[in-house]
Amino acid sequence: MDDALRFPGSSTNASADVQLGPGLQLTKTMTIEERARDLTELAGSLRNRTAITTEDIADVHHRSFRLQLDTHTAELVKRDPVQLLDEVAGLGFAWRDIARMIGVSVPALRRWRLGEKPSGDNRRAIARLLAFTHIITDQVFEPASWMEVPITGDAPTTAIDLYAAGHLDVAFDLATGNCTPEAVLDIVEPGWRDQHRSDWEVATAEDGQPYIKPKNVR
Amino acid sequence: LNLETYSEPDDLYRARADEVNPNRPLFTGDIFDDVPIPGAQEHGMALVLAHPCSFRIGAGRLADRVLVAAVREISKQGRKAWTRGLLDRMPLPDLAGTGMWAAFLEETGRAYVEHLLDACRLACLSESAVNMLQQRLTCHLTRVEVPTHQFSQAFSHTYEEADLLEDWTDMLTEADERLQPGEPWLPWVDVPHVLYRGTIPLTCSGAISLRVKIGPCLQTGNSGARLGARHAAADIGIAMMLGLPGAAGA
Repeated sequence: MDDALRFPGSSTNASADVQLGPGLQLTKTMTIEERARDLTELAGSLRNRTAITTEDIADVHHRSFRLQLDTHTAELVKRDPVQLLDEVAGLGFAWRDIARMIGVSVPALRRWRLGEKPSGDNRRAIARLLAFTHIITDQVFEPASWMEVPITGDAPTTAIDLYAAGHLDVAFDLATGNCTPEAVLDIVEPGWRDQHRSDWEVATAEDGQPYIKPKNVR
Repeated sequence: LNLETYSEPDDLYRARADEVNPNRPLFTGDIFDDVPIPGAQEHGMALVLAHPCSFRIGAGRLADRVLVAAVREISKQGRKAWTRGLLDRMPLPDLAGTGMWAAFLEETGRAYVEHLLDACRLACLSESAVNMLQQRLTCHLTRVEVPTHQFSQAFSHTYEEADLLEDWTDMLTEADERLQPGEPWLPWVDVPHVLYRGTIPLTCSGAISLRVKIGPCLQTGNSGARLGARHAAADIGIAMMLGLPGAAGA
């Protein structure tokens, strides 16, 4: 033990350098506990670095998505907005959902279709919605159909809700499979599990129409 | 209790005043300006309480009478007041200008449809407001609190149906307006409950039923069936414009 400090109970050969002063260094044999602590710290550090890297990658992905969205929107906004609206509707969206995602009323959409000119902001909003559907078309089959289906069976939230609330990045992550529905809800609706918990469910009655009944009751 | 409330008055309305589309079918939450309600009022505003299935009696026709509630102006209430109290009312802020109105869920009766059709439709509630109305009505009558999203789920096919009928009628009235005097047009056969009162050439060969066309959509609510209904309406409109044999008849 001329160049190492050993501690009672040490049962490993693991060691660590101990700097005692300038030019004087001793190697200390570590206990299992110390080694475990160091490993835990190392693992934690690696995870933090991985998380930071993942966040960085997600940020790059979101920035590239926004760039793609802005670029495509800029192209589409040159076209006739009514034609763009018709294309959005042609995907199968309900007018009420289109109105929500653009941020206007259903009657406003109707007025535009009858010839009134939308404002510049609204014209851009129409183009952006169509651009978004074009971008996710590579990822999801029939965007309109996908966007109106609840993202999980445990909550009524849809991708249309995400888009209407301005969570375009999140909706994109969901479409590209980079975020689970639960993680999406944790981001956009903290407390969603409690908020949407219900003792009721919708079933189909004998007449073929839906009705509401207590859960777990036949 | 923690009933749903609104964030902004605009959230509650699909359309108000001159924004109301006459081509939209009568629907739960429609508000009319002057409707007698037997046992409740001789004159005054009224809100349709009934479920659409209860006042459509087949082939698009309406029942003779529809359950409605009286609507009156009330003193101002904050939006949070509606989450735990005022269960006998449905908030209707800024219904007819700035101010507070409410539908009184105790002051109800079966109004005659002809009176509704003679009255002016002041507003149509939004989907979320109809869900709120159902929640408040259920809670008021039974003290049971059902989340609004479940009313939405159970009601979704009726919203879809109303939207499609409105969409369909818009398309066909537009096509009708393009017809020249003397050109053949078909009689309205299937949607007298739409509050449009003009002539509408609505069927192709007199055999197309809106119900048949939009039926799949009502069952599934999917975008594909919605598209099918739109395409069918467009096809009829085009046939009418071109004067094709299938579109002629009356």
